[in-house]
Parts: sequence; structure tokens; C-alpha cells
Amino acid sequence: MNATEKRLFRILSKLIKHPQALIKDNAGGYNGNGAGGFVIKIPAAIVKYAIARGLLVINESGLEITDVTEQWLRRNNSVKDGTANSGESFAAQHWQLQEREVFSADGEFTAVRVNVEASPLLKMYRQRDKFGKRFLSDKEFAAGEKLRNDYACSNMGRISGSNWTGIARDKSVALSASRFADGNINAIDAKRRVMEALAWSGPMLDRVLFSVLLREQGLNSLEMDRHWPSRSAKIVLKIALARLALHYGL
Amino acid sequence: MNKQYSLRIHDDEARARLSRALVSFAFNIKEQDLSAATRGNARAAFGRQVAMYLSHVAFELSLSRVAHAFGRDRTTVSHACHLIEDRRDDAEFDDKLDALENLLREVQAPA
Repeated sequence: MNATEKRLFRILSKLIKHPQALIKDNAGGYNGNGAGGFVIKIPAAIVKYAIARGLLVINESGLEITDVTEQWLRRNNSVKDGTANSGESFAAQHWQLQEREVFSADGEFTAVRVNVEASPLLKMYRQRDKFGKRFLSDKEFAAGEKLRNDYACSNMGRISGSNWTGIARDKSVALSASRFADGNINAIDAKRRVMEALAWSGPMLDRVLFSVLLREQGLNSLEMDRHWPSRSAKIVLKIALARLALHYGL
Repeated sequence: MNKQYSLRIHDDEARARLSRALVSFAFNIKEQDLSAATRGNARAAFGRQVAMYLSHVAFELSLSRVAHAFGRDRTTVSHACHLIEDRRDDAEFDDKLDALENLLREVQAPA
């Protein structure tokens, strides 16, 4: 963001917070009527800049915000508060981006930016055939998401190394270390649920669930690994998810 | 030098003086610290940045005109504007600058 954009961002955020009619002054700028106890003044240069970007529009009652104003604010907000890098503001408008380490094919951990809300099942669930029917049923989708949630709650799949947080330097630190152990009960329980669900789905199917949902391996590469015919993994996944839904009682 | 140009420079310098005086009053910084040729201490530097920002925003002078009036480089003024704009995320500081900005806007251009 350049300085003008930063200034515009501040003024527009205030305008959204304290909506008010904006009327032109002699110098070409616009002044608010102070509704909500706050007078907003937009100088001519900023008005020109905002109109050029479609963030403000002139109509018969004065100056008004447009439907892209809020989107622009949301984009720049995520850049401003550091949750998104400057190049990914458009992605951050809809996605919740996060850094994640993935184990690449050449045996190294690489940091990638991922959308934490994205799930390998979501894309498949959204697709419909020519009759408008979904390939995955709601129950199958919910079962898969439940397994993914449990896995995320458990400590599996995280890189575990030396944990130096629990070293007792004095008594207060030793106490907090014991509290740390309590926090893991949820994780242990989630791990038990994941293991039960995988055991219930049976051999072969559990591997498919693990690879596709938890390791987030692509269906195509799964077929290649196992020498399955192409596009067959989708069917196996559907059967596995149907079994999983039975296990969860959905 | 053409007459109109020297008049403009004279006006810009008058505006810079006014904005320095206002900052000196509002932030309790000595005026000679603000107009010093060197950076000075952090407080003085910050005050000068506020003064440069205010003359850019309230008088709508371009960055290079502000730079000329303050005897600084154009990019120094740009840096100051960025910095102050970031500081305005703080609501209290923002209100204070809003008041100062409105004050300077009301002042008539020097005749």
C-alpha cells in the first residue's frame, strides 16, 4: 500500500463505521454532515483517487461508497494486519491463509501458503453431474470432515521434536508444565477417535482415507502408487466414506 | 527565477512554519528542534515527521513541495507520511491528528 492508499483506507474505514452524507465543498473535497458524532472530510486529491478506483461514486445526493468499497477494505485489512502478504490480498479476501510445511518429493520440508478452510473433499462435494446430483452425499461429506477435524485436534501429523517449554527453572514454571500435560487430553481423545474410525473402516479402505483426507494426497497420485486404473480411487473413496458415515452413526 | 515560482516557495515555507509551530505547541517540542538542519533526538524527529505529514495532508502540497519547504529530500517526506499514516491506527493519536489537520485546513492561504 502506498501512502495515499493508507490514507484512503483510514478515511473509508471511518466512513463505513460512521455512515453520513458527503457534500462538496469549495476546494473540490467532500465533507460529511457529522452523523454519528464524527465529521469526515475527504480532500479533493483523495476523492479523485478513490473515484478512479471505483471506491466512491458521485450521484445526485453527493458522494457515496460503492459495492466494491467493502471488498477493497477487507482485502487491504488482511494485508495491513499481516495475515496476508502484499501479493495475495485478493486470495485473502475469501481465504484464510496460513503457512504450512509440506514434505516434498525430494525429501525436504518446504513452506507453502495454504487456505486452512480448504479440504480435499470440498471440491469433490461441490461438483454435480449433469442431472444436478452430487457424487458425494451430505452424510459422506460430513463423515470425512469429522475425521479431518479429529485428526487436526490430535497431535498426529505434526512434527514432534524436543519440547523445551517444560523445563523447570523455578516453581511457577514447573506448575505451568503440569497444566501443559492436561491440555493434551483432548488431543489423546481425538487420536483415539481417529484410530477407531480407521480401524472400523477396515484394511485397504483405511489407507485410502488416510492418504486422501489426512495426508491430502491427490487421487491421481494414489492410483499411480497402487497401480489402480485411473479414476477408480474416487469410487473407493466414496465406499470408504459411506462406511465411515455408518461408524459415526450419521 | 520567475516571480510566481518564488512566490509559491515563499507560501510553502510559510505553511511549513505554521505547521511546525502547531506541532511544537501540540506535542510540546521546541520549534528550533523541529526546524534544525540535522535529525536531532527521536522526539524532535517524530515532531518534524508530523509537521511534514500535516503540511502534505492539510495544505495538499505535493511531497516535493513539502520537501523543499522543510529543506529535506522528497523521499524523507514520503517516509514520514507512511510512518505517520501507520501510527494513525492508534485511535487516540488519530483523533489528535484529525483535530490538528482540521485546524490547518481552516487557515486562509497567505496573501
